[in-house]
Amino acid sequence: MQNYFELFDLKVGFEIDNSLLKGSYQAQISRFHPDKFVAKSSSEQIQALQNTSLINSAYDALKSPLERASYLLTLQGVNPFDEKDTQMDSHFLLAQIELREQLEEIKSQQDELTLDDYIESVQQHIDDHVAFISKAFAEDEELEKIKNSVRELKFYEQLKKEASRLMDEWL
Amino acid sequence: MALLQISEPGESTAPHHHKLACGIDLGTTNSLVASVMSGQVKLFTDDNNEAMMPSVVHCGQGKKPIVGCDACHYATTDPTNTIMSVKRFMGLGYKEVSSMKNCPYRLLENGNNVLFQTALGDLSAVEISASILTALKSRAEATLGGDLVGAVITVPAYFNDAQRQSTKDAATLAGINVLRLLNEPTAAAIAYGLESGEEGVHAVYDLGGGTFDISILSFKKGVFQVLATGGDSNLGGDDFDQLIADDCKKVLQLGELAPAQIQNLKLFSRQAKETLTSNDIAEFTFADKTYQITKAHFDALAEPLMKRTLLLTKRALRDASVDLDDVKDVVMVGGSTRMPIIRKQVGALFDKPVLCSIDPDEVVAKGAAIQANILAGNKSKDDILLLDVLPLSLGLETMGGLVEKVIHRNTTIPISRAQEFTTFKDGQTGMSIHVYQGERELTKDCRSLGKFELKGIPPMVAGSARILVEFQVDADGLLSVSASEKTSGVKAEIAIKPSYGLSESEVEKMLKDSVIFAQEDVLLRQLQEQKVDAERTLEAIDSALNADKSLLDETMLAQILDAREHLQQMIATNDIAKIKNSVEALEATSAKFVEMRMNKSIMSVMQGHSVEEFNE
Repeated sequence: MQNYFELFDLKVGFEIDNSLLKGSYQAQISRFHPDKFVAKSSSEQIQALQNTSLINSAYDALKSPLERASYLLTLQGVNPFDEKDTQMDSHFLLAQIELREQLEEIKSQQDELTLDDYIESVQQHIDDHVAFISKAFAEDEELEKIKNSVRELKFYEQLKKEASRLMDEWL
Repeated sequence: MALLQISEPGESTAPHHHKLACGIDLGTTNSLVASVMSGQVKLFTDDNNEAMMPSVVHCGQGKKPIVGCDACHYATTDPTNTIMSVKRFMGLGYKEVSSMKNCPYRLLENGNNVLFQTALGDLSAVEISASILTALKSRAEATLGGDLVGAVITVPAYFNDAQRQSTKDAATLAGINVLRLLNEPTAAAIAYGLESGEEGVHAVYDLGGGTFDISILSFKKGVFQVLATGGDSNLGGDDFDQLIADDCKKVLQLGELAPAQIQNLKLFSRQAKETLTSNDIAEFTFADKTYQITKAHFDALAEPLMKRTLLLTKRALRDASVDLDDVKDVVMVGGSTRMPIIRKQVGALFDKPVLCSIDPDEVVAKGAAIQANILAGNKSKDDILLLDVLPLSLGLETMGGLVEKVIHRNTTIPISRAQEFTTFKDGQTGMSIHVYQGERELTKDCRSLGKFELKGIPPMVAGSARILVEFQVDADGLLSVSASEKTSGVKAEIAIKPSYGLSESEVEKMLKDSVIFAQEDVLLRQLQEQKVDAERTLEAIDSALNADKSLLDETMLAQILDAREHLQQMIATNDIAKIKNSVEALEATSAKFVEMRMNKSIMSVMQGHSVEEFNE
């Protein structure tokens, strides 16, 4: 096996068929799960443990667009979240600061409707980025460009998580 | 990257015979044991036809502890020697335990552990739990008429690593081979899921005597997948009893109570709570005064606890990315869900009636029995697979008392994650790694699982050592950590076990020293286990040779056959150490062969299955 895509019998690429991935994951995990090796030797049990851990890691890496894009970049030798390389576009960072301030504002006013709009607008950014990344991979864009978009996507995902958490607290 | 290893399950050459396995619900208040017999789930009962065994252990001046109903009588006459709700003490350190209110026991600090000072000796929570498990085991064996091959033991889904490890240690002490630690809500879902065969998303709301769990599961094409789980390992029916007890103390203006009085008040409060399930008012007499409580007043007292369970439920739904409307069924588990306020409010949250057709006290043990039957290999067709998740995030301490998460909550297990570290000083040869479990950002708000000292790093320039720390969480939800230093040719491997767990030698010592367990069985059991492991290894190597002998050259084949032959001879000697060494020797000799098979088999993994058959 060269990579996670092969493990699930998928073509290497950003666009994947989610139901194929899920079906293949379930088939693999059913086959190798430690529950199937309870009566076997301890070395086989250890292998089952390692195999399932690998299958679960692979599934985690492929099922979400952000993780999948990061993994594809890693496969091509680019680490999108290298701690030594945190340079980001300054316009983007300023926009992020603004968005965070907006969220603080909404929080202090306990305004559910505005928060709902806010979450939707963040979701729109996420969708746009995913669409851009998908197109960029398909057209063999420069990896550096994709990397930047993936990093921005992570910012938005984080923001959405925090906003949704706030919404749950109010509901 | 590791490669998948092929080995077909269920290809055993031995003739098929039914293996005796049972499911054990080791509860805070009551414990049960069940097994699948002739296709039916059967709960094992005592002489009075009672399936529930109170999780009460009396450690009086006799030679053995008294467990269950007979121990209950001592709760008021000899409270300090009668341990109730021992599950609440599992995996806790002295600090946590000593802050517990209304605790009638004499507790001792013993390193990371707590000991109960009893007339029978100083006992740990693990030993007391083991005596409950021993009683359940003998009840099962008496009915089944033979030795158990193993048991599935349930734990609250929200149990942390220390609590899980303690439960497993208790089983080991009781001489039970743990097939799997199974989360209680998952067990309940199996009991319901198999009967209804419904596909979809289900919620399991489990409020037991001492713990609250909420699990969101999806069931599809024979795979039960836990999407998310949440809860509180210190919130349960006992707390609702305590509300009544506190109210009574306030109303009747009672001062400090003696241990026996505390236990008495607890009992009366529990009875009052149970009365309120079907009545509007309950009363009892305590210290010559009459106390009365209405259902409305109790509901008002219970509101904050109730609210907390609903908040935790919503968080679990969020983690599972599931909307309230998506949930098809809400399964109620645990005796405490008999409280009308709970059924009403949970039903209101999901906007549908809750499921409680299986007795909420029995559903967990029944599910565990079904799973034990599957794991023991008694069922080959239409078996279900359970995919569970890690209940609490695992992380490492970083600069400034912060926790860096390595594996997040609700990650499907088994899982392993590796993290690379380096040295920050020239010639540094050691490093300390502190592992935490919990969701908060600061170490002080998380549970410390253990501190590991990594020694023997070859001295080199700062920043050039590559230390790989690997977290491995197994199917029981138990963590092991290993670390290795990998630079040009230098490799130090260290396997580490968290400090609260018992090492093999500690378990052995406990077995030998314990006042609770008969010593003569211990060695025999160890020999038996070692022999079983040896037989399995032989079976594995035989089937591997059958399939792929052609991969080996003559020398390698001869070496493996020699080691195999040697192991077979050693089994006959009945010498534990010799058998163990020979198993290890055979495994070492065939390591290269295993690797060759892995490389060969990977292609067949990809091609062996048609993916379509698993799609919707």
